[in-house]
Amino acid sequence: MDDQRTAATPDEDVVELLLHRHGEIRNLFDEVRTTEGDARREAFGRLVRLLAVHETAEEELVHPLARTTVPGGEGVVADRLAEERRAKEALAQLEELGPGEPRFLPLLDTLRRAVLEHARAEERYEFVKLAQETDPATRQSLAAAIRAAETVAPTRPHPGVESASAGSMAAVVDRVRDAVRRASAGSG
Amino acid sequence: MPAVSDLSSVIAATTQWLLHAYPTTGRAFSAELARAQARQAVTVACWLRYPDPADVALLMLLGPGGAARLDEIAGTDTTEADTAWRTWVDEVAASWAACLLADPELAADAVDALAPGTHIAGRPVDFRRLTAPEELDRGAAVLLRHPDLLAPVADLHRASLLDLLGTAREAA
Ligand SMILES: [Fe+2]
Ligand SMILES: [Fe+2]
Repeated sequence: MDDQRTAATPDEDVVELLLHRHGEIRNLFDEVRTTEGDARREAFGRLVRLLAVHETAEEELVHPLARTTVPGGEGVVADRLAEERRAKEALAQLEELGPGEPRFLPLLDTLRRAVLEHARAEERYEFVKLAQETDPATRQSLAAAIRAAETVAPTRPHPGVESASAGSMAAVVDRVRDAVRRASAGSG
Repeated sequence: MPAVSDLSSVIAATTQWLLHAYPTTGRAFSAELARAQARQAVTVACWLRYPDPADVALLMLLGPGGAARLDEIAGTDTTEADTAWRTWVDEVAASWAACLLADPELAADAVDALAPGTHIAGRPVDFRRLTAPEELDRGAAVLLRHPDLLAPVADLHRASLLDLLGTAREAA
């Protein structure tokens, strides 16, 4: 899923990021549809992961802001959450079935239409309003939060790791932090 | 919001440790559903443990400590090649996250106790995969949410979490 982790820029806008993800989802549906065998299995695996990560990030970070920002936000968000739940159930069924089954493609197409319609509703009722009603700093911090939620575990060791035995570090952090707190409380 | 991205490697590695120790029994989608729950639990734990930028800066300087003691407790085979990420694991955050995964009510209390400001920058956040898991979520996280299986990890630092939440409740 490297394709969904293009480099983040500090001034990235959340609406651009989400529209980009919707494009990736649309393309992956096409890829699953037009490939066969192992290639289809591999593309479907990427689609499953991308959809799961994207919908969770929206539920966690985007819908809560839309709920309070968009006119009629409660209802708009309730509709989107219901669509996301149905999509998850369909996706689980589709995975259970497997890409080799004859029923896979028709079910995939049903899911594709539902997901793309869901994405269009988000764009129309949430993203446009977020772009109008929120300031750029909020949208940038939201994009950063989505990037953070997508982060995978580092492949290089932490630079400070060789200086101390790992087990004792938690205690050291606590002690230093308490000292810093006491010092700043005393000076402030 | 530098604090958000600085913590993300620690959150991702600690999440990965929990998922290795308590793997899903299902397929790729189940693994993602389990990951979302673990990541939300670890995020809440890290935000509670490192509430302001000075905490995060110190963590980055000293390092999160690594998974050595956790691996000992869980009996992990660490002879495998990919051990680098384990140095980014935060033992206390893993333990607190285990407490939250075992107990959705405690998780809801923990979310309520999050300080507004630093990490969420005044924005609302919904951690409902953690606090209100649905059937699909629970099915994907049978081991990850099993209180008896989580206990050895959760017990490590449960007392300090309950202390912190108790203090937050008195202050509220
Ligand atoms: Fe969505
Ligand atoms: Fe979306």
